Amino acid sequence: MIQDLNDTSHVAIEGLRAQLNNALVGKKDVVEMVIACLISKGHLLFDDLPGLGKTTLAKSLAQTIGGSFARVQCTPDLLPSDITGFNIFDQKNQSFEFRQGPVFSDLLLTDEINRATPRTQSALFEAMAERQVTIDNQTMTLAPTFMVIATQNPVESHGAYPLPEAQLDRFAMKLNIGYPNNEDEIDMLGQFIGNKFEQRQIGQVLNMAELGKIQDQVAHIEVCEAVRRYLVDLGAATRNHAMFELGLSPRGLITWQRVAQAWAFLQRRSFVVPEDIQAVAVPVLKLRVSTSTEDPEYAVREIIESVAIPTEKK
Amino acid sequence: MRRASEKTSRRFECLPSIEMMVPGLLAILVVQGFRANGYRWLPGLWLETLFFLLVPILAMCVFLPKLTNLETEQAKKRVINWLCGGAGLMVGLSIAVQWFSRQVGLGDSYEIVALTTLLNVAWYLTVFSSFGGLGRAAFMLNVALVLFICFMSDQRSIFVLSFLFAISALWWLLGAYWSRINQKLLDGNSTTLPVNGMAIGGTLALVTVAGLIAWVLVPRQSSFNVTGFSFFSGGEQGFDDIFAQSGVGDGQMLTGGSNATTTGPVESDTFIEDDKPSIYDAMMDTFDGPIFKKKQLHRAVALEKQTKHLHDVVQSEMSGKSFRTVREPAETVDLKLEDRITKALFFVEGSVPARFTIDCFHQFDGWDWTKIKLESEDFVNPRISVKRGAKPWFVLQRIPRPYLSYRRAHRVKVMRLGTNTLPAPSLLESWHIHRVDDPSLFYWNEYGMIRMGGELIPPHTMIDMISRVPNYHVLRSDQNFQLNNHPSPAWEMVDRFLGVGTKSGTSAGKRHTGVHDSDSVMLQLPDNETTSRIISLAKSLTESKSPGWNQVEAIVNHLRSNFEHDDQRVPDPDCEDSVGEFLDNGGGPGYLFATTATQLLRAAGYRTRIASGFVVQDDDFDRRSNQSVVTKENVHMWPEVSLDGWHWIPVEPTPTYDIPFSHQTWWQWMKAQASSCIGWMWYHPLTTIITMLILATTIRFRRDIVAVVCWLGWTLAVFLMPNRRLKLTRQLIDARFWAAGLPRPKFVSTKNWSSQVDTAAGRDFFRFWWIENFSKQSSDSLSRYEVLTACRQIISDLSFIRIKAFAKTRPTREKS
Repeated sequence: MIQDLNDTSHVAIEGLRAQLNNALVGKKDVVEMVIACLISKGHLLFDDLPGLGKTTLAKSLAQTIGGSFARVQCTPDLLPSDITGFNIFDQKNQSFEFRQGPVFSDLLLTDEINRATPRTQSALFEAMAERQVTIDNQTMTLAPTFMVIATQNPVESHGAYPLPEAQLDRFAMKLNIGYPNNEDEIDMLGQFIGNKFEQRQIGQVLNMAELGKIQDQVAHIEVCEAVRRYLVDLGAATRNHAMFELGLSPRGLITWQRVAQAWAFLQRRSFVVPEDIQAVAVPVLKLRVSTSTEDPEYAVREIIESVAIPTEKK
Repeated sequence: MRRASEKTSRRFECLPSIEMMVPGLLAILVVQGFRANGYRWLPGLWLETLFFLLVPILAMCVFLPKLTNLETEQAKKRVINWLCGGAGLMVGLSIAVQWFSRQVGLGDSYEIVALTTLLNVAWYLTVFSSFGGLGRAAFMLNVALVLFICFMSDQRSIFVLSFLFAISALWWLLGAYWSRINQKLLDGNSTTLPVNGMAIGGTLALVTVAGLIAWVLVPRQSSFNVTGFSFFSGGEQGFDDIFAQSGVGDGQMLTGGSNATTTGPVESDTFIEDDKPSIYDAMMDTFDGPIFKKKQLHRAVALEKQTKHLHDVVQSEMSGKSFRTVREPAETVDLKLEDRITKALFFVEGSVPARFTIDCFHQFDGWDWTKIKLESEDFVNPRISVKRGAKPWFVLQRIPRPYLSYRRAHRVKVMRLGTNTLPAPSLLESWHIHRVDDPSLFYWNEYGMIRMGGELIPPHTMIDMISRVPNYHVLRSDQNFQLNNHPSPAWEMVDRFLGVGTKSGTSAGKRHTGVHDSDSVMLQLPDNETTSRIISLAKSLTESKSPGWNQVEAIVNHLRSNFEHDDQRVPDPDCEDSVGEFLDNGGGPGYLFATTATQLLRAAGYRTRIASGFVVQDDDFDRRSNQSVVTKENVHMWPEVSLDGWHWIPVEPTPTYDIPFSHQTWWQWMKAQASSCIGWMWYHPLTTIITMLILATTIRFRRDIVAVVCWLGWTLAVFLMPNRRLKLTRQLIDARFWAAGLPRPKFVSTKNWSSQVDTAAGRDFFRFWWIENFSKQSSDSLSRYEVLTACRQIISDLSFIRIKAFAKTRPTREKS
């Protein structure tokens, strides 16, 4: 009655959840957000210390959705063409041949994105926003499910090029994995006795076509006017808030709505409720909080608390 | 677990529904409220009510476990038999309690006993209303009782309660109807009922408002309830005129003549059948005749002489020069309004109580009041002048005083008043008679009354009058008045030194010259034994009070509260002094109240005269013609005090008469109310303490009370549409959190907020809630029954007690 969503999609999502939780122990909420980001066609930014499982998560995600996986380690001497690919003159054929860069994958992990020069970063941003790359006046389309998982290291800021606030809009959310708790770490250690770190088996639970279908379903999740109004009110609140250097752009609002739709989908609902908006508010808004803020979550909480949640339709 | 919840739900089924309890409780209030009217000891009544209220509830609590374990039909039938037996026990208990209350000096008449017994049985049945047909029986009994009380009572509170009862009873009936339909719909059809909660609520509210308006605005008379269905019989303002609808026989012809706003005599026997009575006739009729003074005769005299003496007295009274305070007991006449209209001396339009002075007396000798001609320079009457304009007004140039800040107007239509003295309200300021503007027409007579030239005021003369109204608060606060009355001790010493004598001595010396100075007359006391009593009484009454109006009030209030007005308790014809008799008798007719008050006031040093005239009170008002009817029965005497030598302020010592009309500002009114409230509380400590306790409890548990009231409202709204029901349920949950001291912040949804108490609570409810409010799916597609169940579930899951318990543990949890 209430649920007319495709149950097979939810079975797949369930599998995805299980696989990722297996890969990243004790981080169910992070995994949930990652899935939400995936099915909302968003890009993900991890702001975390090394060794917390960012790469593991990204790799596992690529394996579970059966897509191609590429990884770029950003350094100041990384060139745009190292990411997008380049034309090379083929001596045999006497013609230019295009060598695809790592963006031509389904899942791109860009490690320490803030170490790349702004020039390189912007090349990546075009790929992220438009899902296409232009090389020598030639525009090439990327995979429809193309997703970037970028990481940045908050500790070593020396020699880094912090991402410009305006560009951050292109990410759907910013997540911190954080350290697992002791019990989970004990479990994790147990898992690696006798196994090599790289040998963990992650099974594929869905293919690209299925993912595309799910993303399509998510896009069709209903958002009623009251909820949209709530979203707009929250967006307006960020624009007047001191801790937000730039308020939420319309594109940011669209992203937030899409992530909320994904969240509603994960709750097996065919419509978004205000609680969904609140549930995804922290990772979505954290991107926009000024870097000088000590506690970005506090800033987000302030935004949420400044707007009354809609109760009734009218 | 399931068994436990099943047991709980079965237990729930045994309890009476709120829709049943509310009419039951209202019926108790109606019947006991009716009974309380005139009950000897109210706390006893309420204790008894509480007792009978609790007995069935306790019985229910005791037998609840047994009642929930009924499996077979036979057992159920047996229980109903037992319950019927219980009703019999209630009857016995009622009679036993009645017997007991009679033993302690309370108790009721037999019909009230029957009434309360029925009421107790009805309440008992109400408590056990979930069994068989007991609910319906209780309902019928309650309706019958309330209906009966409605017929018997004319108290407003009873009508209000009955009205509430009617609403709640209607609610029960609707609920019963819908629950039956609901049960039928459960069999498969899940569509919603075609009923809009708003429509029903709105209709009920409309009916309530209309009923209240009708109740407040429309005078309660059966003929008015069928306005528009009565015969049209004239009237002056078309069909809307109340005369037009009040049946045959009181049309324009008859009422026209007696209405103060109409002029011209009406050819009717009622106006020509008897002579116009003078004030003497009115007094004779009301107070009966004076008595011949026997005691003054020390030897036997011929009857002829006695008759002559009486004849002299009568002659003196007839001429209006004296009034004897020793009279025959008057026969009380209770005239019907219709008769009073035909016998009216004059009609008055304007606010009541009002008093119209016709005459006044100054000197008292123990038996008779006599008039004394006043020296004009001693007591200056205000000059009469004419203000000519569109309407000529005769104006008295009164000295402005702060206590005369307010005016009021009267319109008098003289009918059969046989006097030429203007029936003037106390403190008259100006008057107007149509097209009369000759100032020489009116003059002050030597006794201080305004007269009109000619033998009597022509019948059907209409006089508009404006008078001043004293403000008692100003009088009370001003303490300078007394200065005029008491010569300073220094002057008294000089007088004594010169051998002039005391004040009374000088007045006595002056009296024989025929004219008198006002002080000596207005402070005169008879020379007899009673005077010393009067002086000591006056002293004891006034010594604790500050001089001025407070002392006057102390004397008047003493008479009002300690003496009884009884027209039959006339002084003994053998007595020496009627005032002494009055004091001994502890009461008497009105003129003795006035006489005694005058004597006391004079003894206290206040210039006082006794006024005679007519007092118009609420009872004299004829609603149909919108005016008061003044007949001989309105004749009365009262003292008038002059504190400053300028104005005569009427006072009323007779307890059955209203105290003279006075004016007060809002602030003064509030102060007076506050002080009377405190006074009342002082004399009703038990009621005050109980009220305070109830108030304190209410304030202490206000949130709990709000929660319970909200829950009651939620329970009563059984047949709302699903969407309304959902909304109401959410509001109830919010209200419960608020009442528990954990109000939901605006930015947190009800679901998230309630999940801190129980994460699983109301899963179904919130599902419906979301569908209703945030999806395109229409709430009509929701199953009414499922919604109801979900609402009930969350309300029982998130019980107020649970939320409160959570709220209590919350701070410690947050710390940890």
